[in-house]
Amino acid sequence: MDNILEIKNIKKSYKDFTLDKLTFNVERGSVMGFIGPNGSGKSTTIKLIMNLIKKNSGDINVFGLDNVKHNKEIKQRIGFVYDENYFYEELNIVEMKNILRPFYKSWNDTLFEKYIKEFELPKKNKIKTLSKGMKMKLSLTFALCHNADLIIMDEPTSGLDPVFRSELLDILYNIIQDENVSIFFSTHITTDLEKIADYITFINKGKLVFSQTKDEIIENYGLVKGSKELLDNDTRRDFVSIKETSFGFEALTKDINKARKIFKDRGIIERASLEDIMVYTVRGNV
Amino acid sequence: MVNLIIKDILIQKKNLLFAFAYTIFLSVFFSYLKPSGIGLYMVGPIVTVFLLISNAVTYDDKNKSEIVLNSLPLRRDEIVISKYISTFIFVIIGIIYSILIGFIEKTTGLPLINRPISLQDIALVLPSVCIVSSIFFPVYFKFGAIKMRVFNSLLLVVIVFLPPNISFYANKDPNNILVQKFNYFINNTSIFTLNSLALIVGLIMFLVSLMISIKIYNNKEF
Repeated sequence: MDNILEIKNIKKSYKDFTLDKLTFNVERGSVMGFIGPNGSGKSTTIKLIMNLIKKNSGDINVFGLDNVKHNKEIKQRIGFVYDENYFYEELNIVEMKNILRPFYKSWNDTLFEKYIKEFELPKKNKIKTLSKGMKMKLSLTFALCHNADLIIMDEPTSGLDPVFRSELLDILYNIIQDENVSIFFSTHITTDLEKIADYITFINKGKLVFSQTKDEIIENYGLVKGSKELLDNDTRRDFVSIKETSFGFEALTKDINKARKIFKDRGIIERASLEDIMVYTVRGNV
Repeated sequence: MVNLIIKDILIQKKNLLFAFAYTIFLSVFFSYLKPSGIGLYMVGPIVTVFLLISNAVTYDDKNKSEIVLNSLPLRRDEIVISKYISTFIFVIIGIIYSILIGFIEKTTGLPLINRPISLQDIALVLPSVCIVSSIFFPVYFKFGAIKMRVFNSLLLVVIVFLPPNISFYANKDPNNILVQKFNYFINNTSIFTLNSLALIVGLIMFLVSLMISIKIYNNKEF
């Protein structure tokens, strides 16, 4: 399988935050969910991929090409959706489209009309009058109209209501039926990914926690609940983190099968959701 | 790059009208100045350029639209170069405005301006806008439109009041040594040489400023 995006050992330091030696790949035709709490470095990573900021070290290859050297070629084939509207608010939708169109070699007006209709976007309205959800749909429309092979989205669902979010996910679900399009999708709302992601990359405090297929993660991680007597130094070591209360404990394990053998019949063992995994990993023992 | 310049015009259609109105105002406000027409034919186009370049970057900055520009298939130096080129597009617009207004004032019989635009006006406007742009753009690319607001107002005051005041004081105090030296230089040099000299100085500043801006913008983080 070829990789459409390769991140190798990238480092970016700020005064109070460092993205440290991050490495992961996105395969062609797949959907990569990029999760982590606020401030974990998701936006920084996306800005690095989009060449909006400069890395201190490491390599980023998009379509097998260095993202700085081949900036222009690469961006012909990238569709971008950011967490906020960065388009000219004083313009209406068609005016904004007319500004964007000449920059792309393979802009497709038929597709534009199709999405505008499908998303029920008012073409003559100024962008600043659109609701947050509509602005997001508009960004998505612009991202989809030039036959991009890679769509990069930074928190597209943040600030949207559940109805709108699920609608957006349905749209993405339809897009990924095209095997050639890959999506790289950052979010801190992990339930967004349970439906559409093939892979999950999880970062915390600028460091990679894991980058695996969603199925592997869901199959291997588990939550163990039970009384405190079950916890000893050996069992503690096997958990990612443990939450103890006066009644008992809940803990996250990376190896649900091992936990099943150890705690057989003595505790409750269930599958962990992405949210559980994120919360337990970030929080540590309490 | 043509697309970027067209973009700068499309995002500020209203300001095109505003600049036109402003040129009318300047022609009236400075109509007392000698030589006649300096307000309309010189200050007018320079202010038009300033208004249009500063508004264009304000729109770019306002919604952080530079993030969009830098996500498009564009090199950063193209973004900078097209901003500098837009100076010349805007100066053409400014000159057309002042020609139009001069014509309107003549046909309506307003006694404010009694001459059409001359090549000498244009020869003064061109180096002036080069200098305005070469001061404006590096500051913008370094600090952004919002932070440079105060600087902008100062720059506008200088543009509007410096050329008329220089000529005003020179006329008032002809015995000042500086004025005398300047007059001596002007009187002993041909107009053509003077204009060429001004244009060359303007263009050199323009190019140096362009290189500085490209350097600043290439290192900018969004």
